[in-house]
Amino acid sequence: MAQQEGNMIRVALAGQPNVGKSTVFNLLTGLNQRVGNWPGKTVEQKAGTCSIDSWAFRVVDLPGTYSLSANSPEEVIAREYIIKEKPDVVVAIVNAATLERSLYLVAELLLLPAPVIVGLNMIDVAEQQGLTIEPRVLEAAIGVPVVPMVAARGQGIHDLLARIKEVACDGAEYTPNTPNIRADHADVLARIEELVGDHVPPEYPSTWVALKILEGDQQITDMIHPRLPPEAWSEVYQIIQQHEDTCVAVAGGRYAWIARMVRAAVVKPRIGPITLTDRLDRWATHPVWGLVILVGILALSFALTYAIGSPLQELLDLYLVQNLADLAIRALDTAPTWLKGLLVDGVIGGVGAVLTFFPILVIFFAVLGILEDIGYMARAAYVMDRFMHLMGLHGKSFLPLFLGFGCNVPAVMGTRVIESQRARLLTIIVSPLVPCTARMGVIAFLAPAFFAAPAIVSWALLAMNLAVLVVSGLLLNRFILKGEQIAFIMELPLYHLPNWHTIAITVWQRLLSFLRRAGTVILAVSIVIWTLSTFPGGDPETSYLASLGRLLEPVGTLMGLDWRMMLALISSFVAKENAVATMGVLFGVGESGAGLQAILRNTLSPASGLAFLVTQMLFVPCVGTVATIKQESDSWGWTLFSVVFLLVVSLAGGVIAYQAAGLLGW
Amino acid sequence: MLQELLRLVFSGGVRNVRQLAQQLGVSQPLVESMVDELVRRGYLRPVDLSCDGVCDGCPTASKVNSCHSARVWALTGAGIRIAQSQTR
Repeated sequence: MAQQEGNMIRVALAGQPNVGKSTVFNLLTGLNQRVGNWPGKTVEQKAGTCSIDSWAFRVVDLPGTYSLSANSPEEVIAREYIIKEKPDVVVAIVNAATLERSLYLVAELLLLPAPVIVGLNMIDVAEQQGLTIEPRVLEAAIGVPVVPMVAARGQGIHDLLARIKEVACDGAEYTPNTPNIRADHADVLARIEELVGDHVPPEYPSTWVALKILEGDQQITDMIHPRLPPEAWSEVYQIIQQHEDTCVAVAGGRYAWIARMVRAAVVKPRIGPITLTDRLDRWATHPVWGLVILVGILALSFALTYAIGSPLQELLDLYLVQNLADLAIRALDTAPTWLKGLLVDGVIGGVGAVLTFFPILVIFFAVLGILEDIGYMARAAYVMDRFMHLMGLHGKSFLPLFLGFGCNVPAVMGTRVIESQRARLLTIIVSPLVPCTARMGVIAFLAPAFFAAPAIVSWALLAMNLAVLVVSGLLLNRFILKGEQIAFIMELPLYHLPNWHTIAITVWQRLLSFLRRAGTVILAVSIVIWTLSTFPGGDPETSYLASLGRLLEPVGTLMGLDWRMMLALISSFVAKENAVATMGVLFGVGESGAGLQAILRNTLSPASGLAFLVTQMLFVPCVGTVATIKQESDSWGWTLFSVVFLLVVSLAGGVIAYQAAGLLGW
Repeated sequence: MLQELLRLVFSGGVRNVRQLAQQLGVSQPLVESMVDELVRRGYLRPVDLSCDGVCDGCPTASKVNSCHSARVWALTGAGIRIAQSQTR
């Protein structure tokens, strides 16, 4: 109620940071302000005066705080001032554009023993964002005066002063609509209030004190503890320990209150980009259509890649590799045989073969790059989640892996959402099975080597990869993790138009990276392979490499792969493109006059080709992923195990594919 | 309201702010505000997906990934406890 000293009205100015509180303070007090410190604290205090007609106002600027907890000296100063000094009016400045946040302080202030007026500031900013707020509706909803303001332009100050006067002098009943704790927790609050009510210092509202104790407010709890008889305190303590959910419900009640206020007073037309993203996501993350779209888009990506890339590849093969080979043979006519062999069979055969696959790789990555840039690829996690939900498999532990659809490194990182260490480690093992763009790229450029309809094959391999991931995950979940539930919030970027500049740079960087690797690692591997396959006798079949390769033949036979293909597989440990280089050297691309594709298609059955591709698709993770696994698991043993696991899965997959394809008569 | 949010997240799978807002019947900024509050109180934790450029040298790596753009929050042990606690 109003307590005036003559005609002096005491006002406390409260508000969160960035709501324009200082602007209001300066408008009110002008040059009549004084800066000091709050008594006994290092926090700055600003106070000032203002006069209108015969009325004088003394304004104290409370420290800007988000709430009135005990977590910072500023908050304690603010609430102690209101409780002890009992100002005539507390003016709470809120930002109309961020009501959901700035009303939180109001929710706290309403329970303190001083009447509140809300200064609804920054109306102009809200309008710019398409928000319309109805001050009168807000006033009716909260039950306190609401004054619309644009303090930056000096608007609303007179109305504010008028209402302050009204409230201070009016003597009317002050009945704000305060936040409540949810009904099913009300009895707990009531019990605490019962226990402490008689022992609360007179200036403190007992309901507020009870609420703060329930919230675990350290300052209030420390204040009350010595004042309570021991049995009362021990009961209070027990209640707090056993009702952690009620403690959360105190703050929850404030948010429910804010929701009611906002719903009543804010008229919000749809904002463009958010709506578009929402609308697209309704389809893109639909449990059925989302999957169809994902599948369709990936199929389209492969199809486009081959439509543009294959003709380019043929041209490169014809005009680059073959001509280069002929040139080399003529130029080295008088050179020693070994040099001729090294350059033609080794370098041109190996590196050349890889370079012809280059157009396919670039186009594939450009297409994927566009999908990533517009924000689509990130939706894969949602699609898989909704799809699995449809199948009754919700929130399984391998779900976070889809955070890394496109690259295994975030897939491994994604396991950080899993609370239990054990579950996390086990999920990491499965993480390299997430389809990544590198694997998809390798398949994209290998598939045409074996099949005449590479788009379908590539797409089918991707589907198989996903299936293996889901099945492994399910098995893992069922038998080892026993159904531990995983849940998390994931916020995705908005969709936006492709940034061609970014995409172009990405493609260019990949191009350079690729050429760099071709000139170093692949060149080295090609030379090594050629050397080991030529000596001692000049005939690859009796070379050192062949002896090594034949050791692998037992496994290879099960997959329909001879020693050359097995070696190609091994060389891809270092870099996936090495498989092509190795095949280029060992199948004599340099000297034969035919491209690698033609050779392979003539030499290997589709069943063998399929086996090779399946193994490549599931093969061991890249260096970056292995490094991340080591980092996340902090164990070399576990890292090694995950590599071996994938090796076994991929070889098994290859064997199964070969045998199955054989049954189909391929 | 905070407990309801934790329960919704706990019920499994992936959620985003829009879904949560819809299911709670509130606006998205309010959900964001509540998520921040829950992080402050230790019931949710932000999950760091940053990859420290492990893939930078690799020509087949994807440059625009979840590790660069998605924000993820997981329930903490305390959050799971609150989500599971029954109302009387």
